[in-house]
Amino acid sequence: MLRFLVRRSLGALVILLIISMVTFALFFAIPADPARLYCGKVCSPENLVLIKHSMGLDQSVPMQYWNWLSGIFVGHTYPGGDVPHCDAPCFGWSFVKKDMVLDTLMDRFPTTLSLTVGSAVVFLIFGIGTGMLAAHKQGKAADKIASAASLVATSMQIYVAGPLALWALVYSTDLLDLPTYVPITEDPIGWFTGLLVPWIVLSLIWTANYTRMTRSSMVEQLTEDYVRTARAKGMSGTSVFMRYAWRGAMGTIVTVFGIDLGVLLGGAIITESTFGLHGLGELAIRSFIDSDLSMLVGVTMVAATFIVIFNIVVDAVYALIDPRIRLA
Amino acid sequence: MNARKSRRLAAAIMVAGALTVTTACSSGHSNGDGAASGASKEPVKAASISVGTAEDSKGPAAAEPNAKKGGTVNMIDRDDFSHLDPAQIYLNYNSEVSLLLTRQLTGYKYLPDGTQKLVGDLATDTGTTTDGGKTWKFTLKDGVKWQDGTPITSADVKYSIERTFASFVKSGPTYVQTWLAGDKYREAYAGPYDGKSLDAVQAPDAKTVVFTFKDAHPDANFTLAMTGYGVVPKAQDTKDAYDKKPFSSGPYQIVEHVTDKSLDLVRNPNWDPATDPIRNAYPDKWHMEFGVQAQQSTERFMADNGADKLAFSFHNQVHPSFIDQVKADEKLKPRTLEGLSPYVDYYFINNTRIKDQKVREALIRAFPHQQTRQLQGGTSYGDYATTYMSPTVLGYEKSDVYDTLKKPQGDPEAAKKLLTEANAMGQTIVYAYNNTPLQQKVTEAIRVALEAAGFKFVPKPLDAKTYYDAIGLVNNEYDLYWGGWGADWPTGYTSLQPVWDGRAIADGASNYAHLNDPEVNSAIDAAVKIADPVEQGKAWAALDKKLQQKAVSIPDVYQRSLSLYGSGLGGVKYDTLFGLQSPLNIYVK
Amino acid sequence: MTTPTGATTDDDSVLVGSTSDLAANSSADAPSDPGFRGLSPGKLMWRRFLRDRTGVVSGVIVLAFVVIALLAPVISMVYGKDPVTHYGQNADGLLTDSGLPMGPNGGMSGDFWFGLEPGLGRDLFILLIYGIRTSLLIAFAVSLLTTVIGVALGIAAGYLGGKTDYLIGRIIDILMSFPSQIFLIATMPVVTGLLVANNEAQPTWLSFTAVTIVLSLLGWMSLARILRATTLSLREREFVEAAKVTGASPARIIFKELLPNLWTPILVQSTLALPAFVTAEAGLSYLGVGVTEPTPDWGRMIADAAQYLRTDITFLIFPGLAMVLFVLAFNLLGDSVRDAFDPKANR
Repeated sequence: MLRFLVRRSLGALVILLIISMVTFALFFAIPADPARLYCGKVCSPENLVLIKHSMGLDQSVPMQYWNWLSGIFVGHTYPGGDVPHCDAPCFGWSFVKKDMVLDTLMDRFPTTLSLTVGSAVVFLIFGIGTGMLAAHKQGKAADKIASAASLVATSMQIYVAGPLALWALVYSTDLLDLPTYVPITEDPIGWFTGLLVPWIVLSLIWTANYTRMTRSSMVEQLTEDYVRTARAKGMSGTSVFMRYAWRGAMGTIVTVFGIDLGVLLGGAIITESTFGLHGLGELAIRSFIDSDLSMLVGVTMVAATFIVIFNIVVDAVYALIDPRIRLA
Repeated sequence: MNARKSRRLAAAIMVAGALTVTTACSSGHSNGDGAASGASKEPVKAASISVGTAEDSKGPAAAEPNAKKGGTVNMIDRDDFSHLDPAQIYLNYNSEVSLLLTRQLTGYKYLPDGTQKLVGDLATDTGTTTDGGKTWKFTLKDGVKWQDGTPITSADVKYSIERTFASFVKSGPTYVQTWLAGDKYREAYAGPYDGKSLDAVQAPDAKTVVFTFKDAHPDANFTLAMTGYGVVPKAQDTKDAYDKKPFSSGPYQIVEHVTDKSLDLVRNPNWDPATDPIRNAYPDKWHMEFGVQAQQSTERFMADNGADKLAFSFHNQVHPSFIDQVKADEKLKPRTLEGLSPYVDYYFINNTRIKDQKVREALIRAFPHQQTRQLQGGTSYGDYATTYMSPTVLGYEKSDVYDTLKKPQGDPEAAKKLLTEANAMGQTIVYAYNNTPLQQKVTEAIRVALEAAGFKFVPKPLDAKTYYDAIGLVNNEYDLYWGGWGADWPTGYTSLQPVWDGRAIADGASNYAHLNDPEVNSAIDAAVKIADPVEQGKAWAALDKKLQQKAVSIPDVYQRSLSLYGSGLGGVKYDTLFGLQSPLNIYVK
Repeated sequence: MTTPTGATTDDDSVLVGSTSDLAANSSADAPSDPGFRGLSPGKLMWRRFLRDRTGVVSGVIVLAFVVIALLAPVISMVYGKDPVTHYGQNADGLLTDSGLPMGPNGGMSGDFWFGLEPGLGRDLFILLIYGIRTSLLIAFAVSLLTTVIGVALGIAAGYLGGKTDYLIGRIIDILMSFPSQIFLIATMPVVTGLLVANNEAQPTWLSFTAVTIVLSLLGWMSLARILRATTLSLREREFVEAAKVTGASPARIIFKELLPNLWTPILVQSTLALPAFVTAEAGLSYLGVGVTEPTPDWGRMIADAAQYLRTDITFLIFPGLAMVLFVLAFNLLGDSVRDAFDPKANR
């Protein structure tokens, strides 16, 4: 297990390194020039040179990349002295937000985390529950209703379901509050009511996904030979269902859930945009619009890190669940 | 070279509503005459800004009837302030909050009749000049202090002006710098950080500041009222990082500023109301929340629940989709603010590419003002503009050379006739626009109208971030493009000179139409020198008329503003200088 | 805007098994004429598909969407409205001064069946019809491109193995670790910048092409992964071995032996991916980086409509429901196609 973790972690670092390079390269290919934008309306060529220097943009792209990378370990001092020193771990200074990238990321993360965890609890419970029920009652009315409903719900998109929910629950009826984020430490009730609408919408769509997935992997497990054998030996339907089929299906669910969690924690752009929440996803699009290079690289790396880490976690957990799989 | 740019561009970038980003922003939305459609019939009232005396400049500010001190006022707005460092402040919504934190030499106070008067803020009066505006002398009041209790001295004022020359200052006004040191002022002086001092500003004693400009500028006391020339103490100057948390000289100081989320202010104990004729400072605290879209804020103001009762918004307007509803609701009337903003929308014609005046006239006559305005909110977006100067500017005179008010939807027949006369039927018009959802639609409306008039229409989408850069190039390859303009202070000078002075043409300069007409240039020079404000106003109005006759561009609308605030607040006023809600007299009922 | 990611991987084992079963039928010598022993796999699949009522219904709906898209100009002629005329702005009494439809329910009437678009006042019904064209065209183009890329790289990795496999495998790993939404958005201006010649008018096909390229670049990985796995298992089978022994060239083996056996996963995956591309395309437009005016587009309509939630909900309901129905039909069809190919699957 330890060897597996070490090996995979090294692999993950390599992947992250490559992603950071690609991100850098890509963002330098975007036509807008951050220095020019920062320079403002009345921008003399001389001033532009000075700004390029103070932002570190007068160096070659590989050099800038090196500055960024080394900054994570040893900190970074921007030339020109207009900007505070950035202590390690330094992810850069945002010239647009006038703040450390890391501070902003930490500030935004709780919103994304709340959004993700809140809806994950709901969609896991309901998704797996409904999926198992459907598998148990395979072919019966309950199954058919659950399957049909989940199919319709998976065909909904956040950008359709979100505005519709806002209309149905907030604008036309005033049943619930407009989505906002209040830290749970400050006001737990406000935190709950503020995120309720996004949770409902996210849960609706994701519950449907998990219902479908749970049902199909359970059904698949039930046709496996070992399950049939167990049944033939006289084990009761429910025990077979729980002890064998569920254990078999859990692998798939854990895998997919892990991958989804990694993606969600990196920030859901459309969701956060639709509900006007200021999490990592909104930060990403905002930084893109503002050509806030250091912030964009920072938020991309956070998102990629979550994806990579959760991939490893998934594999490890999978091995724990299914003894047939050995980690090497 | 600059005047306040409407924030609409910088901001209206990507999605509508979906993102926390968008929607036209200086898009004032209000209801001119309450009618459902058609041109605004309400006569536009010309501005009446007066200059006060030393007596007017004494604190405290005139009290609001029934106002009381205390409480927390909430402010909800879409965007965080992009700058708080005075030297970087140019946009109107930054200026408005800066009034609470930072003081200037001069400023505007509200008179009971709703008009505003220029008075001394840090200075005892609005400054004195003995040579027609070349040398200006200001004397500081007694008892003006920084938030740590140290007195504000003339050396501080001098330092604050000096640091606007530094290279990290990118977005503030540049009038005073160029007047002091010439167009390439950064080459002449690079800021105080290497120990050098600027000779053109002198502080002979602790109370006196003297500015010596290269030319006469009789309205320099207006210029120094810009929040961009607010004071910054040398000991607290953190350069670029100062932008996030400035050191207070005004009635409030910053407790916490979380970028893009919130800003909290508390009283500055060292601010003395007796020195301040402008700021009433009734509330104890301000809590400002950002990231609230206009749609949401309108919704919240209409619902008027809980903390929103004590909320106002500097900048968020009534969202266009709510305008009809807000207009119809009598209950909202008492807490609705509306008025003309200083901004005028133009569609600039590139005079270096379209040289034939007949073609330009055809463009003006064909232009679909009604359609484009309807897309942006109708009468509440603004009144059809026929002049280049806004009605809020001193000296504005009404005129309508091309019958825009008669046919705001465009007159394709008249345009066709002109094009035929010019032998330019099928003339190609490259229209550059800001690639946002709303502007894509506006472009569609313009396309239909110009094609109906016999033009060949070529739309060219530009990236919103670099829009002004692209149209600001002298050799740009576009014929027509939108641009918003607002005077930095309400005289004709900042309304017309930056935009129409042919000698100011340069990459990135504000003469987007690239008009270089000797007659216009000399008229500008003549007008600047007139010392009497009323006479000067007349000269600017005459120039305006001349520009219309030369068909230099298409004035589109004088922007309006329509906004709401919570029922628990009093003293919320509309600031005609910025087109926003003013915080100066707000109190908790 | 979820590009097809990990969620499809659980199909691997099933598909590998099923294709190998089918592969046994089509002998090594006559893969191009697989029907000589009993029914061809294609016919078998078709029969199973026809027995699936949901599949047939969804197939008909999808077909209807395609036909509507193709016949849009005809519908426009019969209906008497086109997607570029600003009806609301041209005539009085349709839109209020601030651009809202005057009539109830978003201006629905005998003239304007689904009401008017606020602002420009275009006809919502005909905009929706033309919007199908945009969605389908891009989704099909992306499907085609991703299939080509996925097939080429998947087979190359699976068949060649070794370093090629490793390289392609790592590229896939990396691309799948990218936060896809950020990358889709950030790649758009780059691709647009590469496509557009300076200061030329931006032609309407430009945003189409850019969206297609961007979605294709980040959408081929799951197909490639599945094909790699399938190819790996096929490579060891007797008929491939036999071909190798008889001295067939790698090209022949790939095109004549392997590819015919891969049609099933390719078809199934493409059908399943199509609705994902439809929603991804609409997602880009929703965020404002997709297809531009005046090309009608559902994602952009939904983004516009989100501004009018309180005042004109009709504007959201029609494109929203159309979108859901469209994606639902495609999802159902995808499920049915998979089931038809794979009798073991669960329905």
